[in-house]
Amino acid sequence: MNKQLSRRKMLRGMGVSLALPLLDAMTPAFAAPRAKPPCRMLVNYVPNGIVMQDWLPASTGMDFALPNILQPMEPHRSRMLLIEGLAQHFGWPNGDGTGDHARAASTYLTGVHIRKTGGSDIAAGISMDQIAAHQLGSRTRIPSLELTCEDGRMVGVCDTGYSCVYSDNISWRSAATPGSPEVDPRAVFETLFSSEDPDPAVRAATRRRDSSILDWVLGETHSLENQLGPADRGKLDEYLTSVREIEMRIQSAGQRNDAVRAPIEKPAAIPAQLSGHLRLMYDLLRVAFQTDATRIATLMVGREGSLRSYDEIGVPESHHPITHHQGRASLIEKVVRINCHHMRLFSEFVASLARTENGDGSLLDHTMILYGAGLADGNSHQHDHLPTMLVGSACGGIRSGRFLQVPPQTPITNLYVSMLTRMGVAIEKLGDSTGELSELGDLG
Amino acid sequence: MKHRAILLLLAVTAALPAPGPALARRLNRYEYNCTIRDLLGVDFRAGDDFPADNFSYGFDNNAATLTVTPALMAKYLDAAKKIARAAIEPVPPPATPEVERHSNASAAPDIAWRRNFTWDGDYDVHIAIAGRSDPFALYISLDDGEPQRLPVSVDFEARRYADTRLTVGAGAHRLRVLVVRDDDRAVDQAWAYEEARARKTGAEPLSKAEIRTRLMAGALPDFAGRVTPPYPEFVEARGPYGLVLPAISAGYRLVFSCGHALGGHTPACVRGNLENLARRAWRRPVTPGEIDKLMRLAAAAPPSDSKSEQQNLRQQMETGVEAILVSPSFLFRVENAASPRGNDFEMASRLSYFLWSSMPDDELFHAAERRELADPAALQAQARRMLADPKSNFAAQWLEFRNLDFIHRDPARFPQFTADLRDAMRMETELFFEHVLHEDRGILDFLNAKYTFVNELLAKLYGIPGVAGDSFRQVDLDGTARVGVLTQASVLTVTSYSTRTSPVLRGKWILENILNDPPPPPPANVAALRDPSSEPALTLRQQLEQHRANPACAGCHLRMDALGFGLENFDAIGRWRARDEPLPIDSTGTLPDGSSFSSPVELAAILAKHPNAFAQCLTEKLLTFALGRELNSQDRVAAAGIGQSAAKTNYRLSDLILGIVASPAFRADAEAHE
Repeated sequence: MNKQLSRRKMLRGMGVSLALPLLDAMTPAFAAPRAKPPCRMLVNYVPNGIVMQDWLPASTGMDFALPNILQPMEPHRSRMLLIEGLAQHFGWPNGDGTGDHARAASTYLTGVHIRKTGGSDIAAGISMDQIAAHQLGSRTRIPSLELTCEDGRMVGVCDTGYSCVYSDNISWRSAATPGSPEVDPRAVFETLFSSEDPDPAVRAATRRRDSSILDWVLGETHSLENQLGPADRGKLDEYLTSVREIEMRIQSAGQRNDAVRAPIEKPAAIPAQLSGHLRLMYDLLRVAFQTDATRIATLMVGREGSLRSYDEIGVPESHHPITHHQGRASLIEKVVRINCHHMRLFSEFVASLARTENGDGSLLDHTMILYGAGLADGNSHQHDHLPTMLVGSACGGIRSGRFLQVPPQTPITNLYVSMLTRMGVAIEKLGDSTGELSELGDLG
Repeated sequence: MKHRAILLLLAVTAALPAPGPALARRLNRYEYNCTIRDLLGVDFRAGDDFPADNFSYGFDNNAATLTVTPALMAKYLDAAKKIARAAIEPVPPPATPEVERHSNASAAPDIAWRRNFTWDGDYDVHIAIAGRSDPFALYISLDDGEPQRLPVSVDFEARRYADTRLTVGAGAHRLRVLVVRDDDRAVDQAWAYEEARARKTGAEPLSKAEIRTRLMAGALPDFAGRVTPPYPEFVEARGPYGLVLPAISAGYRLVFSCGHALGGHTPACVRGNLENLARRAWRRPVTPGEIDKLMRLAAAAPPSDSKSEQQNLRQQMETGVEAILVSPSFLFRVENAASPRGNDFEMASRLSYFLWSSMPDDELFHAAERRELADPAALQAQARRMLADPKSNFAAQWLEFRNLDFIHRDPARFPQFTADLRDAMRMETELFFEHVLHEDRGILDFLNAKYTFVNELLAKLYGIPGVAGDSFRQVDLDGTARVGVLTQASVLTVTSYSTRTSPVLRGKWILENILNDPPPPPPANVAALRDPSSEPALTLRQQLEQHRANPACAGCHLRMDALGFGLENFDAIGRWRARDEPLPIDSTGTLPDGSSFSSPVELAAILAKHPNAFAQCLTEKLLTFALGRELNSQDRVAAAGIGQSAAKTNYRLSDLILGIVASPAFRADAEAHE
């Protein structure tokens, strides 16, 4: 039976008139299970910069030796592309004084000048992952996942003059709406799986009910909006956009009406140590990609300026203060230990992707991961020569196994344009980009 | 699809709000929890699973940064579903009576307890009275009715007891217990002891006036157990007894306000129930048209063939409750809605979210219905009534001790920092804040109070002898190194790092939260200091002195560091220390205005010499919280005025709060739309 027809029939059966355009493509991956697997993208952000002397290999090209921090990636060196020379111009003060950590996070994926404000008029820009989600998100159950291992619950500890929002988010849905990443693995699991009842009839009834409630909510919101001045509508528009997105999720799930079985156990509480927490997040990302729940994700290993301490690797000190080590060897050694710890956990994740079958290859073959930080040296807040690594071959669009040096001060947004192009996103310019990063590899 | 999403995006971007009158404001997680609790009479705490709310200007109730994302929307739906299912379910009464205790930490002779009684029934009330000195009389009142005198058990232990039985209807009730005592006689008794002591030791006896002062503050250690003015130590309520079955819980009655027997649903009742619930949940009157739409949605619920009429009506209730809880009218506080009666109800919500972080109660709602809140005197009366039962989380955000939940201490250095100690730290400062509010104390108590509240665990940390057990009590700090909130473990801990103290963070904390003088942002790129690896290890003070040698840093660090070092005698969990091995602590300092100090107590005394600055600071914090937005210049002028007029009454905290409620700044946002 024709898919479109059955979808209309379903909607008619619900007695709902939808003020929504039909989705451009109802999940081609499900319609054609034997097709080439889709390409996935993850941005893995680490806070407080990286000790660059232990990150940069001594020589470029194919035969570089892996320095200390990159050692855990040895098994995957043929799958990684190290890039040196990229810069985030808007990370620098540009007349706004201090606040390098806030800028590091919020300019990282947006490439725009963020407004220095304590909160009333937040303005960054749409981030590269959200551009991808807007164009590709309707093809999966969830347009994108925003995760963090450290959320912004602390009072009064953000970067001078900048709202905490800027330090807590790399993903921005729009200039004024941060992605608000999820910290709780259990909640991520529930987003991915648990609303699914095993009985198809129950699932269908629940979706019908949810849809009619959301439809009623849309009506209520419109009548409320009519009573408001334009300045007050912004907040309700965010709400409206969110209601619509949930409605679309319900519809696309209804279109399939197959229960997605969770390949992993439901996580319990948030583990106290980072390793436990991060491993759960990586598991969830892997199964999210594996079950095609989403193809686009960002993960903040910590909020920018993170004060986390790392008892599990013998670093009881808070992270941020020791990155201002002022050249003292004993403190640098501890920061390196944290950098290595992050990399070890990440390499476990990469290995798990390599083990997971997908299409005619592995999940790693069909994934592109950006591992990086919004600061190079955390001690002096450098926003150029950013530590940048691409992992996975992105469905063949990236020539890996290399250490690539690009001209200094090349905008990192050029890399994003090239990454998005490989994801199939139509884009010419992003933030301060000046072109593509042609050295990445040939487009397939 | 693409175009639509982009258009929406543009719309959101274009509507960037500017500081000014309130916006449509989403409930934050804390407010969501409190509102659901008060709406349905059940503490679901669904908001704990929502993503963390963004902070701006020190608080998490800022309209502009409370955003909605699809992830949050999905949680709203999920929470509403679970809450609706639970709310329509009758709760079975407890098999055995339940007991709840309210303790009085402050030794005040008068305590008020607002208790939620889940069931109609009889409850045994049990009161313990601590302290000795006769005669005294004990009174109890229910919901501020006529006080009843209760007989008290004979005095053969440290405590005496009184018991009575009350019949109450399900819902919240206020129990007041009052000890009326003869203070003159207590002073005479203590004076007799003091004279005897002085004769024996040859020391100079305390004056009678001094004895009175100390006695009333519960602070005469020499006479502890011999002469202490009696006060109610705790009240317990045990029940229910004499339930009339089938019993209906308070929460169930809030949802099924129609009042029929369990299971006796009728279509008319469904409409009435939902209308009443919508009105309360949306905190405003509802129109018949709105209820028509809600009923159509509820009635369109699933195929009905296989279910009984009762099941279908229940299903309608469930759908209706769920919809009410995801409606924008519930999730947002919308001000300046064009409704002609809008302002009264907006003012009611504004007041209740300021003082309670929750929805208006019936009394406040009725005052709005009667249009009383436009009258300043009636508004003040409501605020006073509500202050007796504060529920907001202002203090935890202002003093930043909310962060206790999220911080970490190096277990090797601070094995004492357990979950229990963390809770005790939080409890101390909460009790302290409540005490200042309830006892109508001046805000300078935050800086120079020579009393605090501890349990055994915290007393051990502080080195205060003679405190046993988990319950908190007021203790005298005279002669100790502690004074006010600055030396409370909660504040000292949240301004430290996991392995060490941070004089800079502590200095910044004082500048921001006490002196209203936040340091300007440091100049760009000062972190790039020269390489000191060839130099010998330096003390923290020496390192920061080096830092200040840079003229760009000196201006602010001079202030921050000097203040912070004044508290160096307290380690990263607030313990006293004389040394930071291998060196002794140097807690002396000189402030830019030339005043110098050599101990934490002296530092606090200097801070207390600027009551106006502190009053303005605290008023601005309160006003930011009350308005849920960034302050503009008029607001700051208003805050200064409120602070100055409170000078007449010794800067009572309650006067600052009531001053805000009366201020144009608090009322102007509402009036601007009239």
